[in-house]
Amino acid sequence: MKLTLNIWRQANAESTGAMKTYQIDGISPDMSFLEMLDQLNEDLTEKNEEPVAFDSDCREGICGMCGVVINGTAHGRGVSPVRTTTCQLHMRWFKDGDTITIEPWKAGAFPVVKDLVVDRSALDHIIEAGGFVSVNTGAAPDAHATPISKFKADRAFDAATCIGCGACVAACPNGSAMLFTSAKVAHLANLPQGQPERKLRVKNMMAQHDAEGLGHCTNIGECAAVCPKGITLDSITQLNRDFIASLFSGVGKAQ
Amino acid sequence: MTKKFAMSITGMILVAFLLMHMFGNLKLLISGADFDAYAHYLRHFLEPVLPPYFFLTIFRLVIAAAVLIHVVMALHLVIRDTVRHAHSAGLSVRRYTMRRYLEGSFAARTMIWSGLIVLLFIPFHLFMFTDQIIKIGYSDPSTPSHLRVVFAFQNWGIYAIYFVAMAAVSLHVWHGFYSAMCTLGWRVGHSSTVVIKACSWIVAFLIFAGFMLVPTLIAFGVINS
Repeated sequence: MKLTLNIWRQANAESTGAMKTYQIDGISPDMSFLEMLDQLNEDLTEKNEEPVAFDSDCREGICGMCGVVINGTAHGRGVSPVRTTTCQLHMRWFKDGDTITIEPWKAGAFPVVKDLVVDRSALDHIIEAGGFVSVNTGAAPDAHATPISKFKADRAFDAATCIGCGACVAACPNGSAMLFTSAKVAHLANLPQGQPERKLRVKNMMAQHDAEGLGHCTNIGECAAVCPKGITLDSITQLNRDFIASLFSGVGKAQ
Repeated sequence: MTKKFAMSITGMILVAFLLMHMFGNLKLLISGADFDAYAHYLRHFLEPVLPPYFFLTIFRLVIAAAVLIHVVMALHLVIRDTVRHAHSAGLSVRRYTMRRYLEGSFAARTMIWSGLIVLLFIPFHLFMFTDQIIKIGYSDPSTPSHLRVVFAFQNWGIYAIYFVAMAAVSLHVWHGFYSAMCTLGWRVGHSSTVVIKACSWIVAFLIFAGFMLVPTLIAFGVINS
């Protein structure tokens, strides 16, 4: 396949970036999107040009490291027929002669490090603000020692599949990380182990979310549409409910 | 996040007010005298238990406070987000050179604009029918309420302004109702989503159709002075 690529190039966080056009040939439909970028970088290196910087790690859709906006949708969700991360997007969904626009996640809280690489530390800070979970240490407890309903276990598991890639922030017109934060909150809020710190956790995580400069949620739904793990807006409901409940409790107030 | 709860609650108060206002307007379908009696009764609600204008004044203060809180919170949130986007390195307010929306509706993404249209419309509407600073088609300030409405909507320009404003408020309410329910945590699963979406369609339709029915009948000469 022969393709035209419009790629965001930015030398570092301080410089202003711009779109640059590249031609690439010999792309197999069986290549992944990142393999296509690898080939572009080989071409650029041979031509003594600066290769395009992008993040990637596991390349099997579980680490949450890769992620770019492809043709206007995060992870190229608009191109792919199924939920996907950028690494799991395949070139077979593109046609010979296509023009592909590739941009980094763009949000106030995600400064560009270089080209397509952004700093997503804001998400880590939210996790840190969540604090600890009170569990007894020692030998592993019996699997049936803590009863939990199937419904709640499923909800917790669904929320726990969030890989923290940041696609929700990239897709949100307000640059909000509500879907990410709510997945992390819903994960522990549905489990017995998460109960002791439940209200304090939601308060602290939301406070950190806002402090990071992430936007507010207006329930548009773009986040859930692009989420590679299919986190639904239901987890945002859980976050809202827990947050309202936390407002009516004394947690987090000075003793 | 508490700002959003404030917006949800004030938004719901304003939706309730709009539905009541719309219902009152429909009195003009019965007769002009009925409409005038309704307007008079609003000013003398629960008399003689309450003094004249007591209820109306409290009511106006509540609505004005709801509008004020709603607008201030909205501007605060929007400005905070856009300013942050604009200030971060290499980012313009328009973030991506290419953007495609998969889910978010037009109404959801343009809440601030539909809101601003409604905000501009409110003083115009009050100057016209409440304070009578803008007089359309009459000059005597003691003209009965229903005649002032009829004269106003015989003017196609006024009809067009109201049409645009009502379209904006319906779009705003269509997403706003749904969004407020989500923010308040009522959207818990698939079936509640269906119910909330259905309710937001009904409320938005009632507001548009209910408010535009009387002006349309006047503009086409079915109701006249």
